[in-house]
This record gives sequence, structure tokens and C-alpha cells, in this order.
Amino acid sequence: MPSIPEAELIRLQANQAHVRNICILAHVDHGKTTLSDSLLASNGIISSKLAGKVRFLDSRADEQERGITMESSAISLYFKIRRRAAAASIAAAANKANAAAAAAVAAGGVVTDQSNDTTTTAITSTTASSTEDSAANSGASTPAESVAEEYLINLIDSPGHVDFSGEVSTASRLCDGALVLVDAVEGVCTQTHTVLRQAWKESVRPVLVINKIDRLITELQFTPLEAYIHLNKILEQVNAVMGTFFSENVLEEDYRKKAEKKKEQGTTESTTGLEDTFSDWHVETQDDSHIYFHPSQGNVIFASAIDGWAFRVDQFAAIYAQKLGMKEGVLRKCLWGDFYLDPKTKRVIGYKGLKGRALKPLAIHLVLDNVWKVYDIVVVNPDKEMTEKVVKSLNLKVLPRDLRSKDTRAVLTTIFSQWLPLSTCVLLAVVEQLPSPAAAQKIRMPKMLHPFETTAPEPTEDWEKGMIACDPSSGVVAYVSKMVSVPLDVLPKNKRKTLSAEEMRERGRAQREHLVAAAKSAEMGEVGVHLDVDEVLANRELKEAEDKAAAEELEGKEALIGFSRIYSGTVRVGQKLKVLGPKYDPAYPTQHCSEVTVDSLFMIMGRDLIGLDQVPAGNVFGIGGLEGHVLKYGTLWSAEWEGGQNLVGKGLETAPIVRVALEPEDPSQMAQLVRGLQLLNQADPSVQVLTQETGEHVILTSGEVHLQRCMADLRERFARIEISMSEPIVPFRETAIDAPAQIVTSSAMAVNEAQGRDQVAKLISKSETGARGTIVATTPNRHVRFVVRTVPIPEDIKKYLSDNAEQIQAYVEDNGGIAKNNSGVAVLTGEVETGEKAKAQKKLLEELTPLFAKAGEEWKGREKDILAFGPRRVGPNLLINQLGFDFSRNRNSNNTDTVEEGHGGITVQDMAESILTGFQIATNGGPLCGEPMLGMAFFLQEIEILDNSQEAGGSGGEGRSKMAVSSGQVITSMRDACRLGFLEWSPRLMLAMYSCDIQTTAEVLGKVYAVIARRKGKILHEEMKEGTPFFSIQALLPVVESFGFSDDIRKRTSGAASPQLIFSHFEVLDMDPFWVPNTVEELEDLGEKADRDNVAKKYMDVVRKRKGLFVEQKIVEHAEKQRTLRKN
Amino acid sequence: MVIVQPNSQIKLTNVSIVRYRKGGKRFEIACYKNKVMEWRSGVEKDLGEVMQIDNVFLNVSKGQAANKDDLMKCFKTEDRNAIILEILKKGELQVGEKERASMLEGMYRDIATTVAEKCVNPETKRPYTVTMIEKAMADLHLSVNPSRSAKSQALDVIKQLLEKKTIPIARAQMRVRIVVPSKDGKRIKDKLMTMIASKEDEDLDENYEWTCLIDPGQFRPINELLQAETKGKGQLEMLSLTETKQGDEVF
Repeated sequence: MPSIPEAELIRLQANQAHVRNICILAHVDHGKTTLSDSLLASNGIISSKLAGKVRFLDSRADEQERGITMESSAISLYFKIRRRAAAASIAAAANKANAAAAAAVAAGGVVTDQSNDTTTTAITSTTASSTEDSAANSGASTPAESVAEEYLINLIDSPGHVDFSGEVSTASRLCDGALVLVDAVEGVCTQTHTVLRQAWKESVRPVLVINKIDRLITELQFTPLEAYIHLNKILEQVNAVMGTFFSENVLEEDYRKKAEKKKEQGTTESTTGLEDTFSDWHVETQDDSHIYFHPSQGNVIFASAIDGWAFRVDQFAAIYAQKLGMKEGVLRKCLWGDFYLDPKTKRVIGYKGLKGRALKPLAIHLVLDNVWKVYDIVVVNPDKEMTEKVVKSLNLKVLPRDLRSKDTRAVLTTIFSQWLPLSTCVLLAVVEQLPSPAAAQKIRMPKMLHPFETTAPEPTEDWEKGMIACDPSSGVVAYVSKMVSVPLDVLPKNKRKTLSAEEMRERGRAQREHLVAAAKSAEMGEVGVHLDVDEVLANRELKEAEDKAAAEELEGKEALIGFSRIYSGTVRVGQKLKVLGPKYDPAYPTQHCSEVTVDSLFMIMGRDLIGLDQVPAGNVFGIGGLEGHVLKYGTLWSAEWEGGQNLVGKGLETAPIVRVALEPEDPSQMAQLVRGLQLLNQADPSVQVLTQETGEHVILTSGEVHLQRCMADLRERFARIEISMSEPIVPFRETAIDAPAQIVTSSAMAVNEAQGRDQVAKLISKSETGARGTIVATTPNRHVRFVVRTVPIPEDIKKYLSDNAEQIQAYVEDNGGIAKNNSGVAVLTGEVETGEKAKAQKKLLEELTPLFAKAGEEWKGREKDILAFGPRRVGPNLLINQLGFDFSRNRNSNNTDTVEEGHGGITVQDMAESILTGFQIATNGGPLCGEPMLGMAFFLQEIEILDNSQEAGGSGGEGRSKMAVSSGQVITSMRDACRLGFLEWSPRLMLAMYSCDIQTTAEVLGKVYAVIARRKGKILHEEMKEGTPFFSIQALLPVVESFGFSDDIRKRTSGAASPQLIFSHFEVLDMDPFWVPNTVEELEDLGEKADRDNVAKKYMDVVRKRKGLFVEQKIVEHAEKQRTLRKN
Repeated sequence: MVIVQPNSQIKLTNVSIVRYRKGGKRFEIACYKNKVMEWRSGVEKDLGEVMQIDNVFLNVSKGQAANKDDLMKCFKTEDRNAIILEILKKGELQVGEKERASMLEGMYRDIATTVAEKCVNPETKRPYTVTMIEKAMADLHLSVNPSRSAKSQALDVIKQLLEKKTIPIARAQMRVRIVVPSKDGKRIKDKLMTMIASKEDEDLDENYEWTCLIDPGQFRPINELLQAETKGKGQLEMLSLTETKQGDEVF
């Protein structure tokens, strides 16, 4: 078939009734791309010989290499049928077929009466021949006068791998119909569920394609009967899935109704059990037959995309109707199912009429047997003579050269492509079964606009009407589902201007020839690689012809094209449109809304783009000029219209869960990486990129395969630099609890850390008399001495502090006022300006007072003495003034009444600043592994300026300079004192936790539990989801253990469970990192080292190692077992 | 002359000698390699894992043990264990290969961590990750000096990084508040303004107040200036140690 001129396609876009937007959905490796290949071949885009091998729509190098689709891609197809004429021609053709069949019988040498020719297989083939005859006739020899109908089919091929389910949801959002493929051997798989659900949610009408039937014949060697039973099972499975969706919906609706009713009852007090029973009845009576697949309804296609054939039972029905003298409609209904042909009466009978006779169902008899026969003679037991006979009887025009080919598969393909051409069958089904945009939008739009209402309100606004009617003359409403990054040199405007459409096609052909040549020379498996090489070569040649400079300029540059669907109106180049961002809210029409001019419009033809001037409603197209306006998805809206409705965010989005940190190999290329990440973020809707507080660049992807694709994209297209990947840094918190501390607490490490500097002087040490956690510290110059007591904050207060963190932060940051006037004044009592601040202060104080009162004697009333929060002045740790006097330096009184004037004019109040700073530093990096503390309180109990310092304060000036030194030393002393005090208690690490939602089926529940348990997760609860076979599990999982978790769980459960991880909180790991086995039992169980079992220590050591802190780890475990050989 | 026969000979392999001078005599003990540092840091608690031979020598390689008199004379005790402990604690030791490696690695990490803490990317106002700093340090061909403190070396590294410009880097600035009585304020304002990096907020009434960002190196000079000029009435208050952007930023 010659390739279709673009002008045709453009013309067709305008005719809505003849436009179909479909996508191909299926589990991974069920043959989506292969199927689309065959459809492309019918349009002459690729050679029909190569259909199923090139995987044309897998345009990425890595897609070809791995053999899986990663990005959905679109292409527009042209399809021409003679609908009205077809009926007539079938009748006419059938007549001819009879004659032909007679001839075939004679040729076959089977002497049987034609009236009862349906009993032997030999003759079946002849009957088949007649069938095919008419099919071929109706397909090929159409009377010229019949009315030809032309269709434009916008096809989107979507990936099947779990990781790319985001792509699937965008694809289904754009389409009105879907081809759902199921592998005939594998049956319904997990992704089949997902895509069916997706289609259901988006109210996209599906057509089932049972693919790879050839495998039943050649691999499994099923007989037609076995195959029939098998296929029926698959149908049942699929229908069962559809049934659950339906029941789910019905139940949900029912619940809602009941809830509403209850609400009403609450007000009116009129209750009857009767109504409930009625609603139950209602469930039963809702008709669900329309959602199921059945061959007789024409929404099931049997196919083998690799061999290029497909059929629906109607095709056969049309043929046999004539032959068996039955009405076509009747035959179509009984051609699949428990219907048999009584050989004597020539009537179709049901199972009851069988009366024990071993008859084959009609489906086998008339349909499957024939297909099996062809396979048998061509592939399984090659028989040249029979093949020729069959070909002849089928009235196919096969070149003898092709027939004689040694490659039986090629012969098979040739025969089938004429007998049961895949593209015709599939496209016909698409045209017949799937709705046109206008029809589909009538159903889909109300659902999209009012997702929570069962019955949509009548459209009132212009735009609503426009969308529902799919009206090209209305204003523009379009949805951009993703931004595709394409190399600039692909854009039509960047192709040479002189290139006419004809020439472009010529060029395309040349390229395709290259492909063909490459594919032929290469082995099947290696096609992808070779193709690429050739492609590159071809491209290079072409480029040489072009202006080199221009080419260089364009090379490697990427442009972003919006992948969109227009619901209403007509977009034109140069038109001004409003862009509504994903966060757009009709209530605030000015936010997240910007205006753009349409730069260019494209028809997307796989990897090529064709420039357009305008696109009318109901089409899928590419749009340029949105760069910078649409990040990932958005809504386009006519500029004339006020307001707007956000079409985004109503899809089923899967949150990305695999987290990795990225860094350039060469540190100087940071800027490129950031730029690349920005591009990636725009080009892939299901990836999230963020810069963390730690300075890490983290990307979140929806799976490992997705991650690999993103990395390939970054390395080769967006950033073009070497990038290294690592586990992201996991945050911890340090806290202590009131439990017996390990004796080793102040073990090697702690001592090293806290006292390293002052080891000799013992300047900072435990107080002999004070309560637990009391530390007495003296600065190294023996000038200042203070006492600090560390106490874990009681649970209630801790909770309050973390719950109200934002409030406190707002208060503290807002309220520079306190510290402004006086450092060292209590945060919550200082004089504040009136208004908001005072209110906030009062509120905090009031709420804290009862909590402090409850916490015990030492806490009571202390809320007024809080000097500071920490770290960063806002955290969940407290510094509390227990001095008994005002610690603030009252600057306003200009030192006239300070407490101690004697020490060279230095007062303890002068030290307040340093104490605070020391506290902030200590809480920002605790003694365990330098992570922030959480929930610790430090009571400042005593502070004094010592007189007996070596150089007793002389003049004021000297004292001043000494104070500068002291204040520095107070900072470090305070820091170390806080840390040491912390270790007096039983220290604990706090782990960041993910809350984890998992949906899974009952079968793999155990495996899910196993994975969670192995990763030290905790199950919170599980429950059965009503109306579905799913369980939903809620669990907590430590972030440290989460790397690779989603992949693990998917592998273990074969993809049946996929988790969602959201950071929830920090949780204490109840294990002292310094714990070692002490008791006899523990020693017996764990041995002396026990480092295997002390998880807390393990975590702590990892962090310390990363930070280059001292790790208590032996370099050599067994001194004696070192290598004793000399070096040379 | 003693005939040295193979079976009566003890070959010392895998040995690391700790020497200690006391009372004009040199004592040695024979330890395992890579173990003495661990003993000193308290990681290794089993003396048997540290000592090869439980004896004090005058010369380990010659097998010359120290006699009791010498020990008594120098250490004032006969308890050999106590002597060994003292030598282990105070003696000079040969640092093992692995010890050195792990020490240097730890030091390297520590320097990188310190640099990462003190610096930001001036374009984004965010810190660099430690691994990024390590890569940049590798670019500088930095050799770690085990005898200098990590912090002073880190400051050196920062200087070198600033010069070499492999990555855009800057010292994270401190945010401070300066409060000075107005009469002093007028006088030292100009001087102060040359010392700070950027002014964020200014309040000139009864007391002069500035909230500003300064380079950490300027903290002490400013403090000294204030102390000298205002007789303790001026205040320098640190608001945050490193001024970095907080929170995650989603692209």
C-alpha cells in the first residue's frame, strides 16, 4: 500500500465522526508494539514484511535494545473502508465464493457433496477457502461505485512495564478507546488488571485482543478444542476483572447512597429497613452486560500480531451465513459458545440438543479448525502441494516465488496477510466498536468535570457544552498530558525550507530503505543495534547535504512539545491561549495561569512530526511554544473565556517511590546536571526532582527500570555528562530516654569526643552530687564555670513541640523582637510588641502551662524560663533557665545595676550569648553521630565568673579582651557539656519512618509481610477492600531500610503489590547504640561482640563513617591472623 | 657461642615494636601490627590481642629481655603488667599500614565534612554534599597531613578550592546582629560596614542595630572592635552559624 499523503490526514482531522483516538494497553510483552507495527504497515509507513520486527514506535535506542517500550508514542493512521458497500459486496462476493468453492473442491479432489461438506477436515479447508474467498473479495475487489469511508485513527502505543504506568494513564486520558491485549498463553497478568482498571476509570471503551494465538498452535500444540477451552478461560478471566470493577462501582455508589440517606435520616428521623433492602435489590438489577467481552458482540479480536493475522467471529459469520443458509445475525451470536451444528438437520443446536453426540462447537468447527489447518500444512508439517492447493482454494494471489520460500514462517505470513489481514480486522473493529470523539466526549466529559457526582448536572457554561459536544467552532479546551522532548532537528520548521512534502516523503523512504536493509542483514535479536548504526549513518549523510553550521547548531538541542488532546474548539498557529497549571483553582483565576501564543502544531507520526496550521476538536496532536509554561501537564483554555476548569489531577497518578541522589562525576559540571534535571522534570510526568536541604539532588522515579531510563536520558540527552548515583543520605535524630544507661556509655568514643581536648584538665565532668545528667564545666582559661543538667523532655511536651513546630518557628522568627532587645531573656515572657506576636506568645504559653504542670515538679512553671529552642532556634529542644535570676543583660539600664561588677566589668549575663550558641551547636549535632537532637531539655543551673583565674582581671580593657576569649571557650564548653549530659542518659537513635500503603491480592499477602519484616517494618493494620479481591496494608518502614524496597516487593510478589511511601515521622529505635551483651544469657546467645545484633550501633557507625568521625571498629579483627609474609 | 638452631629460634614476624625511654634506658615491647592505636583509643580491650610476647625487652629483635633491676630502677615497680600498660600508653609506636590508611581516610572524610559544613554553593545557597567536596578535593591532589587538625586543613582546602574554581564555592556566611549605643554607633559605623558582607536590616534609633551577614573570619575582629570602642556596651550576637537555604525544593 502506498504511503498516505499528509494532506489526506489533515483533511480527515476535521471530520470528527471519522476520527478515532485509541491507545494500545497491555501487560509487558503481550505484543503492543508488534501489533501497532502491523497497523503501520497497512499505511505504508513500514514494509509489511518487517511488520512485527522493527517495532517502529520504539524509537529510543534503549527501547530497541531491551525490547520493551518505555515512552508512549503516537501516530496517525489512515483507514479506508466501504461500509455500506461492504454489505452488498459481501453478498455478491459470497455468490462468487460458492463458485470458487466448488472449483476448490474439484481441485482438492475430494469427492463429496457440497451440502454435507462440513464433516471432514479436508473439506473444512475448502469451506474455509470459500470463507476466505469472500473475505478476500470483500476486502480487495470492491466495486468502484461503492461509497468509501475514510477514517483517521490516532494511535498511541503505551508501555506495559509497571514502572511506566504513569505513561499509561496519560495515554488513556487522551483516548476514547483502547485495544487491550492479552497474551493467549499467559492470560491475564497483573498489568492487564491495571490497564483495565485505568480504562475503566477513564471510561475508555476497551476492545479485547487475544494475541499470540500462534503460540497455542506451534508452542503448546493445542488441538483446536483445547485452544477453544483455553481461550474461553481467558475471556472469563478478563470478564471477571471487569465484573469486579463494576461491582466495586455499584457498591461504592450504594455506600454513598446509604450514607446520604443516613444523613437525611439524621434530620428527618424517618427510618425504614425497607429502603435498605430496596437498595440491595437495586444492586442486583443494574445491568452490567455491556461491559463484558464476548466475541459475538464483536469486541473480541483473535490475533497473532507476529504472523500478521487477526479475525473476529463476524468475519466468519458473514461467510457461513450464506453457506449454511442462516441469518448472519443469528450465526454471529452462536459462532462462539456452546452451539453445535447438527450435521443431519443442518441446524444449530444448543448443548441440550447434543444428546451425547461428540460434536464440535461451531467456533471450533468453522473457525479454529481452519486456522489450525493452515498452520499444520505450512509450518508444522510443511506440505508444498497442500499449501498450493489451499492458497488456490483461498483464491489468494501469492507469488510462486514466495510460496517456494524455504522460510515457512514467511510463507505463513504471506498467506495470512492476504487471508485474514490484521490491520483491516483491527481497524475495522476500532471503527465499529470504539466511539468517535464526539460520541465519547458525551459520556466522558461529564465524568471528568464532575468526578464525584453520579449524575452530572446539565451543562450550563459555554465551555461545558463545547466539550460535551466536541464542537470545533466553540472556544478551545485542550489537555496537555505530557511534554515530549524531541531533538530540534526533527521539527518540521528546522528541516530545509525548500523541502516539499513530496521530497520529505522521498527522504523518509530512503531512510526506511536503510532500515529495511539493516533489518534484513541483521539477525532478529540484534535488529535494534544495527538499525541504530544505520540510522545514524543515514542521518549523517543527510546532514552533510544540509548546511553544516545550521546542523551543528541544532544538533543535540531539544525542544519540548506538548502531547495534547483537544476537547473543544479549534487551535490555530499564532492563537493566544490561556495555560492553566496543575494547581489552578477556578476560585483564584489569576494564580497558576499564564498566556501563551501557539508556536506550532504537529501531527505526531512516531518519531516524525508533521507541521499543521490548525487542529479541530477531538484530535490528538503536538503543540509547540509551551516551554516554560507547562511543566508536565496542564490545561489550555480559550483566552476569550473567563475562568476555566482544571482538567489536570483527575487521573490516577502513581507516586514515584525509588529515591536516588545524583552527582556529576566531574564536580565542575554541576550546572549541567541541574539544567538536565530541569529538562527531565519537564519531559517526564512521573519523575520528581528535588534539591534537599543537604544540597543533594534527588530524583524520585516509579521503579528501577524507570530510573535506568531517566539516567540514560540524563546522560545522553539532557545533561550529557557522566553522572554517579548513590543512596540518598538518610536523616536521623538523637534522643535519650530515662532508662538504665549502659556502663559503657561513657566508653571510648564518648570520652574521645566530649573530652578529647580537655582530657588532662577534666574541665567538664559529671557532677558528683547533682541529679542524673548534671554536668559541671569550666572553660579552659578557668574563667567561667557553669552547671548544666540534661533531661529528656516528657512525652507530652515533646509531642506538643513537634506538633506545633511551625507555630513556634513562625513565632520565633517573627519575633526577633525579644532577642533584639535582650539576648538571654526567656523566649515566652519577654516584652513583645502588641498584636499578632503577643497573641501568639499568649497562646503558646497558655498551651504549654498545663503540659509543664503535668510533667512533674521540676518542670512546673518552667515554661516561663525557656531561653531558647534548638537547633536553629526553633527545634524541639529546650534550654531552660534555672539560675533563679534574670539571665538577660539589661542593656537599657547601661550596666548600672548588674550583679557583679568586679571581674573587669564582665558579668555572667555577658556570657548568655555564648551559652545559647553552644546549646544551638550541641542540639544541631548530637554526640552519637552528629545528627540533630530531638526532645532534650537543658537546665542551666549555675553560672559564675571565677575570680581565681590566672590573670585576675585588671583594667576594664583587659577584661574586655579576655571576655572575647572566654566567650569563645564558653561556646565549646557548653557544647561539650550538653553532649556529655546527653550521654548520661540512655541514648537512642531515632529513625525516619515512611508510612507505607500497599494494595495487594490475598495470594501474595504472606510475601508482602515477609518483605516488610525483613526490612524491619511494622504492620499497622490490614483490611479487605470491600467489593474487590484486594487487601490494603498500612505499615511503617524505616527510611534507612527502604532503598530497593519497592523493587524487592514487586519481585517477590510478581508485581501484584506496589507500595506507596510517604515520610511520616521520626521514631525511636529502642536500642542503646552502646549496648553490649552483659548477662550470662546474652553472652551465650550473642557472644561478646554482638555487633551483628545491635542495629542501632550499625546505623550509628555508618553515619559516623560517612562523616569521618571516630568509629569504634577494629581495623584488624584477629591480630594473630594478619598476613605475616614479608613484602618482598 | 650459642649455636643458633632453627628449632630454638623464635622468628618475629607480624610484629610492631613500641619503644619507651625512661630513666635513661630504652624499653621495648613486642606488639601485633595495627593494634596499638586501637588499644590506645579503647577499641581493643583484650591485651592478649595486642601483645605478642608478654615481656618487656631492651631490644626485641635481639630477644634481649629487660632485667628486673632495670625495671625496678626505672619504673619503681615489679609488676610487669603495669609496666607494659605504661609503655603501651606512653611509648612511641610504629604506625601500621592499615592504621595509617584508616587514619588518613578518616581524616580525609573529616576534612571534607568540615568543608561541606562551612561552605555553600553561592548560586543556590545550598551546601555541597560531602561526596562532591571529596571529588573536588581529589582534583586538588590534596595530601592529608595527619599531624594537623582536620579543621585547619579544611580551612586550607577552602582557600584552595576558592582559588582553583573547580566548583563555585563560598564560605557560608554567618548571620549576626550588632547592637551599639547610638553615640558609639555613629563613630564606628563606617569601620563596621567595611567588615560585614551584606546588610539585611538596619535600625537607627536609640541604639544602632544591624542584622547582617558576615564572613566567619570577621567575627572575631568585629567583636574585638566592638569591645574596644564601646566598652562592652556593644553587642555582637550570632543568629545562625551558616546561612543556608532551608527545606527541600521541588523543581
